[in-house]
Amino acid sequence: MDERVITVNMGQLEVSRQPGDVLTALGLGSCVAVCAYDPALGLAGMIHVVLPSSAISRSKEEGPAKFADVGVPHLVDEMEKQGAIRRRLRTAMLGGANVLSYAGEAKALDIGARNAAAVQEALEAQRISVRASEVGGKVSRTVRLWVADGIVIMKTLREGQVRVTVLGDENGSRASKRGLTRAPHRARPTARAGGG
Amino acid sequence: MSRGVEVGEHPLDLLQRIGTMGAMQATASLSALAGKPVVNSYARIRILPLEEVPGLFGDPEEIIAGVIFEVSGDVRGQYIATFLIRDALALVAALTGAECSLDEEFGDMETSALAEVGNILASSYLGAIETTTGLALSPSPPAVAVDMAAGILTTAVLPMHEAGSEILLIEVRFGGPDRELTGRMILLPTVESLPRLLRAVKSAALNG
Repeated sequence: MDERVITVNMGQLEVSRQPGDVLTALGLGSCVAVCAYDPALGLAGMIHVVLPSSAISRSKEEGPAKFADVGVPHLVDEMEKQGAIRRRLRTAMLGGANVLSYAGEAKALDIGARNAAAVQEALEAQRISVRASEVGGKVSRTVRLWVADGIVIMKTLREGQVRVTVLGDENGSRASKRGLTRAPHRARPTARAGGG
Repeated sequence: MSRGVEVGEHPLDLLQRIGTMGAMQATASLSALAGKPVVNSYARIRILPLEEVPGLFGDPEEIIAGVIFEVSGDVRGQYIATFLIRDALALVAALTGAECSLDEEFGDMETSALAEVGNILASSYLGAIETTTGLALSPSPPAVAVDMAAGILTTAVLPMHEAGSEILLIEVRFGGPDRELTGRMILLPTVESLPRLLRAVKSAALNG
């Protein structure tokens, strides 16, 4: 099956039920990727949250997926439109790092931590539990969600690619073949890791 | 971007002038530091939507070293100096006399060496703007990060972005004649600081 990488840019939402699709958010710093999956349908969705609250938005044109508070309900709505059942949804949230550490002072404006807290709160408000949470810290993360089986893989500079969770049913046909079940390996920064 | 700021051709030329004057000073300092010629190769103004920031340097996953400062005084904003990782390692080696590679943890010594490179660039770049315009621009202590370009750039830009939808940046690319050392500097003035910066450069241009 041909893989098709769908990049979910800042403030965007993507939903897919094409088994070959891989929803991808590249190099998240303070941003948070929210992955959602309905295993009964093989339906996957992702939003790339940039800021915690839409209350500070100056522009009405900005899409709801940019903000945690309205982005999470928007993701749930869009998946329900395609037949998802809310109580079946499994989610993972990744990102929300504080990549820049200034010497000597604690930054009051840790947008990453605020984004992660706001996503968590919005998911709780939707009564959706979080199956895996990889937030905070100081490293950027790339996140990939395979539509075929709901596998979530995280890539960082130091750890390379690590399988974070499987949002689909583990006994599905493809989950076991995806590899990456071994322990995290060290990145070789001179080599470009491929798209998978 | 604030609707109050008119970004026509003339103001952009003025901003270009800011980039160029700062770049000349900064690249001279960098040449001395690296012991190689570094020439200012390219300065330009870019106005781009936030969504394009992660891909500013091409591949969002490209590993870069960034040294970031908050700028305060008459002009507020962010100043960012970035290098491809191989060039950052070469600079650190030139400064510390010790080879280092990414396979080892980036230690305190490497981090402070990079911070020092950033300090030198920031003080010459911002100092050149101060001298020309009479405005005060003070850099904060630096933040150093070695990570994916997208993560560093978006985290640096977001506090400036607030809730607007576009980013204005003054970008300088520099390199040696044999491309031994390349990097970029970005000055991101806040929306509120832009008119003051433009006025000062305009009057300096008239008097100069």
